[in-house]
Order: sequence, then C-alpha cells, then structure tokens
Amino acid sequence: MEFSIDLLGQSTVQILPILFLLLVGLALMMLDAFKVHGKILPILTGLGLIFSAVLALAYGSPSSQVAFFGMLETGGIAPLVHVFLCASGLFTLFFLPDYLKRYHRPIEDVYALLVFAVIGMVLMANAADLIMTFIGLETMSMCLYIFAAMYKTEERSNESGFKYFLLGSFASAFLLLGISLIYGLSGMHQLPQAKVSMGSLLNLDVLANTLPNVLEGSNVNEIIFYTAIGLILIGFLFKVAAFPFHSWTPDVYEGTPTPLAGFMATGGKMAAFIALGVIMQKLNFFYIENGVEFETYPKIIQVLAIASLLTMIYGNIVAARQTNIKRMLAYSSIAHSGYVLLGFCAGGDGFEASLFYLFIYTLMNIGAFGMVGMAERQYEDTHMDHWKGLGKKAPYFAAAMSVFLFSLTGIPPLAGFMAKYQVFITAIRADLILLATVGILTSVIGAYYYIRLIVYMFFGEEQETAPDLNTRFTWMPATGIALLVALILFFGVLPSTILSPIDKVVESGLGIVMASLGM
Amino acid sequence: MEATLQTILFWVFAILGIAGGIGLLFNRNPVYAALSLILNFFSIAGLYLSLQAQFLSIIQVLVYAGAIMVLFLFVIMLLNLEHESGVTTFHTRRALAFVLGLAFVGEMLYVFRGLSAYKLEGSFEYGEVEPIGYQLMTYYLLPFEMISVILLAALIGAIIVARSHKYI
Amino acid sequence: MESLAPNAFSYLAVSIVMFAIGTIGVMTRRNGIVVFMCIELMLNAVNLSLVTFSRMHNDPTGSMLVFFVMCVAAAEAVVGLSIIIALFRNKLDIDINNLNIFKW
Repeated sequence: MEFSIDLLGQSTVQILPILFLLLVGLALMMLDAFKVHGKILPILTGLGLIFSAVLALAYGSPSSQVAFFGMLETGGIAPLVHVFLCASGLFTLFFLPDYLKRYHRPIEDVYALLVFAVIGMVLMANAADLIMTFIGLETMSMCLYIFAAMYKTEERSNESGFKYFLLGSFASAFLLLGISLIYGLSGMHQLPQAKVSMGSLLNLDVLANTLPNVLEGSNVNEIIFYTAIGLILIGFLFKVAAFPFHSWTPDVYEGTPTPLAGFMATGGKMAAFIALGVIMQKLNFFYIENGVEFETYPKIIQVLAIASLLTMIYGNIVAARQTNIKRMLAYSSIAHSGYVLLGFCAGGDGFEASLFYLFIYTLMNIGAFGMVGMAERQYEDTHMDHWKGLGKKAPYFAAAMSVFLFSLTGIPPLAGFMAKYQVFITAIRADLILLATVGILTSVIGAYYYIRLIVYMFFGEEQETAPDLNTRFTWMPATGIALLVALILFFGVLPSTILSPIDKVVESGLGIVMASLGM
Repeated sequence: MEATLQTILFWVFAILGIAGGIGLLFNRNPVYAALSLILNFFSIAGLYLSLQAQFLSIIQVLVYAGAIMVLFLFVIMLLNLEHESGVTTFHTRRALAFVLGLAFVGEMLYVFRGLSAYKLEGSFEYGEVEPIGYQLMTYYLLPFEMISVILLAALIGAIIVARSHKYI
Repeated sequence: MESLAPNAFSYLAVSIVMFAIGTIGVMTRRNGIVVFMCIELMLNAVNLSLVTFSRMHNDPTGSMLVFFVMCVAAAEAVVGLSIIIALFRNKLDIDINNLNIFKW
C-alpha cells in the first residue's frame, strides 16, 4: 500500500469513533482538573461511550477495510467489536460511582482512565498489524495496572497492583519476543536488495502471504515459526487467564475495586481473545477444502485444546472450593476462558460462537461483579456467609443476582445457556467430542457453586452482619441491573438478534481473505 | 576496514553487555544492580551502532540509560533499600530457574541455528533520523500517535497511585 | 579476523542470552525493583533482536517497533515505580516473598 495524503485523510475519518473516545477522555481529564465532580463525570463518560458506539456502527462497512496503511481494521467485525467493548465500559459505569463514594474515595480520574482503557482494547482487538496489537495491549494493561493498585492506602490493593504489574510486563516481554521472531521470518521471503518499503511487514495480511512462502519446505523456519507462535500464545494466555498462566487472576481481582474487577474480567479478556482470534483467522490457521474445515497447523490447535481442557477443569474445580465470592467469580472467569478457547479450537464457526459467548459473558459477569460490589460490608469483605438470607432482606437484589448466576451456570431460558450451547455445538461439529464432553461436565460443577450461592441467599439463615442493601439501590445501579437482566433475558430468548450480525460480519470480513487465497 | 570495526564493536559490546546482565543478576545491592544494568544498556547502544542503527543507538542512551535508569536510581535512593538478605531458603527454586534459563538459551540457539548464513553486509538504509522520521510520519502514524495515549494514562496513573495519602 | 566477523546469529545469540538472564533474574531475585529491572533487561534483549532482524532484512518495521517499545517501557517504568512507592509507604518493604496477603 503506497503512501498518499488522500489515504491519510480517509483513514482519519475511518477512525472517528476512536478519536471521539480520545476527545472524551481528554475532556474528562480537564474537567477533573478544574474540580468538576459528582455524577456529571460518569454520565458524560457513559454518553461518550454510547455516542462512540453509534459512530462506529454508522461509519463501519460490512466488508473488511483498513485504516492508516494496514494498521487498524475498521470494517468487518471491527464496528461490532467496538460496540461490545464500549458496552463493557458502559455497564461498569453504572456500578462504579456509588462504589467509589461508599468508600470515601471518589477518585475522579478513574473515568478518564476507563475511557483510555477502552481505547486500548479497541486498538488491540481491531488491530490489523502486530505493532498495533502490542500498543493496544500495553495501553489497556497500563490502565488495568492502575485500577488494580488504585486504593493506595490498602495493602491488598498495593500488592495486587504490584503483582499484576510484574507478571503482566513479564508476559508482554514474551509476547514481544514472539512478535520479533515472526518479523524475522516475515522478512525472509525476498532478498534484501529487492525490497521496497511499503508499510509494515508485521501486517496480518502481509504475514498471511509471506509466512507460507517462508515456511514451505524449510524445516529450520518452521521451528522458528512454532517457537514464535508459542511465545505469542504465552502472552495472550496470560492476558485471558488461561490455565498455566492463570495464577494472578484471583489475587488481582480480589485487590481491585469490584466493579473495575468486573471490567478487567470482561473487557480486558474480550479484547485479548478477539485479538488472538483475529490473528488465528487472518493467518489462516484453518482452511476450507470441499466444504470441510481443516487445521493448517494442527500442533498449535492441539496446544490450544489442551490449554482449554485444563482451564475448564481447573477453573471449575477450584472455584467450587472458594468461600469468598470475589475469588469464586475470579476462578469461574478462568473457567469461562476455557469455554471461549474451546470455541477457538473449532475453526471459523467456533470463532463466531466464541464472540457471542464473550459478549453474553460480559453482560452477566459485569452484573455479578457489580452486585458483589454493592453487597460489600466494608472494603473487600465478600465472604459468602454475609449473603445468607439476603433473599428476605432484599428480594429484588437477590432475584437479580440469581438471574446473573443462573445465566453464568447456563440455565435454558437465559442468554448464558445459548452462549454455552453455541460453543459446544460448534465444538461437536468440529469433532472435538472429548473437549465438548469435558465442557458439559465441568458446567455441572459450575452449577454447584453458582447455585450454592442462590441457596445461601434464599434458604440460609438471616445474618446480623448482612448489609442493608435497600439504601444502596440508587437509580444508577438499579438502571444498570435492570438493563443487564433485560438484555440477558432478551438474548436468551432471541439469540439470533446478535448471532446473525456476528455471523454476517465474520463471514464477510474474514471470509474474503480466505477466498482470495484460493483456499 | 568497516567489517573489522564492526567485529571489534560487536565483541567488545557483546561481552560488556552480558557482563552487565550478569552483574544485575548477582549484585545484592540494588544500586550496584542498577549500575550494571546501565552498563548493559550502554553496550546495547554500542551494538545498535555496530548494526548501523545510529538513531536508535542515541535514543537508547538518552531514554534508557539516561531517563529510565535515573528514575530507577532515584527511587532506589528514595526508598533507601537494604541489601537482599541470604538466599538460603530458595535453593531449589534458584537451581530450577537456572536450569530453565539455560534450557531456554539452548533451545533458542538451536532454533536460530540456520541464521548464521546471514552476514549483515551492505548498508542499512533505515538507521538514520531522516528515513525513520519519514516512516513514523507516514506508515506508522497511527501507532506513533497512539503512544501518546499510553504516556497520558501512565501520567494520570502515577498521579493517582503515588500522590501523597493526604489527597486520597 | 574473518572468522570472528559477527553474523545475524551472533547478535541473536547475545540477545537470547540477555533475555534468559532477565528471565532467571525475575524468577530468583526478591527485591521488587530488581525484578522490575530484570524485566527491562528482557525488553532490551528483544529490542536487540528486532534491530538485528531489521538490519538483516534492510526493512524499517523492526526499528519502528523498537522505538515504540522504548516509549512503552518509559511509561511502564513510571507506573511500576509509582506502584512500588505506594507499596513501600504501606509496608516499608518491597521483598516479593513478603507479599503476605496473597500467596505469590
């Protein structure tokens, strides 16, 4: 792609939704500096996120389209991903202001950081170039490190921030080494003398053309390639908290302000997963021959399948042993990563199912984390015993929480069931019978610990220590909860309203790449 | 002549750099560890120079050896840290780390064995300021601009986290 | 002299050795700041390999990524050190084995 000023102007229009978010972030920062406090900041943030999502839908094209010379994808799945990520930020906002106020720590800068984190996530998930993936990942992580360490007077928060920071940058060093090796391979396809620089060699479309040439018939290069993908997978599996690299998750979520922990567990995870999925799809990890899907690099898919298997088993079994709700949700979020990875192992349709799963998971998990935040007695006290008998004291609260928990379990009329069903059915179609069986069995373990909490709420003895939740039902969290419950019911009954757009954009956005390669 | 210069530069800075790294690994005193790391960063700048990447070499000295390491030294002095005490309790973990590290080196050297055919001759067109500036302002404009978001977020974050407790 | 002339493999070997030193440091050192410095060493080792590849291919992408990594590392240093200062204020200690509340 040759450089031209016209293309530059066109690209600027294409990334308008992101530029608008940037503007909102800067405005929030300045308002905070001039001591504009109170509810106005979260409301402005929310409106900004909504408007940016609308812009993305209005400007996005259904076919694949890149901005800034192959840096950022703005068509295909990009607008939908933008909407999902903005939704993750938006629903967090319903719970955040009250939570911060209750602990007398109204840190107003957090709204600007939230917007910057969403920008990082969008850049990462919609990147069409590994350089952009890296920068988006770092933008997001930088904001999340700060969220984890935000309550600086609390030792827990310091420790969780410190731990997240050290392990997170350790993992990104490995990711970067993997990118470096991919770059080393990508340049080998022609002689240095014959080269004319036309943009980045780390562009995913460029890589899709160069890598097969380089790998063909060269054993040495193949080893470099597998090492590189392994290192990149370490980086991504860390960010999504999959099995061998999950150990930070419960501690970090426990030390983070609860609504923001929900944001980390949904938005951050979704961005990392989509970035990984886009890399897998664009580099043609799967190809279609006579209508049947095959794996181009079976070894990599095997590694992913094993990671998925162990993540599902480990996350669910350990979650069942927790007595602290926040840690239980953290381990269950590890388990949910396993289900999403299961979709990734199943090829193109699996990617669609995973995308759907991630969106539904975002709705129910932000709701669950937000409500745990509401029920906290004092800072970070989330022991399950305090939840006994909440069903009588605060029936609406308990009912809404039950909807989220039932949906996380995967009980039929709710969206969580449709999400799990989609993932398992694509896995079975792709002949991953063992994985799907383990997934269904571990879901049963999941049912045990989610439903145990519901039993505690409705059939447990009333506790003196339980917080008075009725005063905490101000309009903001109440609206958020109502919206989330409505959406979960809606997508449970009519999943096609979100599934068919996903299906369409994935087909038209990524399908074209496959067709053009004659695969 | 040029090739000889490259050879000399490479060997001097490679040995110095690895020595700096080992110094970081074994120095109990954090200040000495930081100084070893500065030696390592200077050596990497020298290696960049031997690869004809002059701009990055200068930036390496300015940003890493200059700014970042000064910040590290400043914090180490501010916190007035003691030396790390004995390491007796973690012998197995230590041994495991070294075995894993050596295995990693061996594995990666095996992976890279085919690359010794690349002699790095001829000139490097993208080492100077002008081509790099051109690339940054054209093909890499978006990442270049988005770096500012990271810096801004880091700035706000540092204010939130490190501000005195009086101003919660 | 001819046999000593460095090729791409020599530079990558140096880079890998430095990366491994950083990794070992992260796993064995106990002082939080030193662990962080080891991570910086790892990032620098990757940068060296990127410049080597960039030189090998005579292509700007690697050099550009190095430039961005340096910016990110600067931002990371700011955030990391501020977290370390906040931790030190509360605990007067940054030994990573003494993070009591959570198991490391």
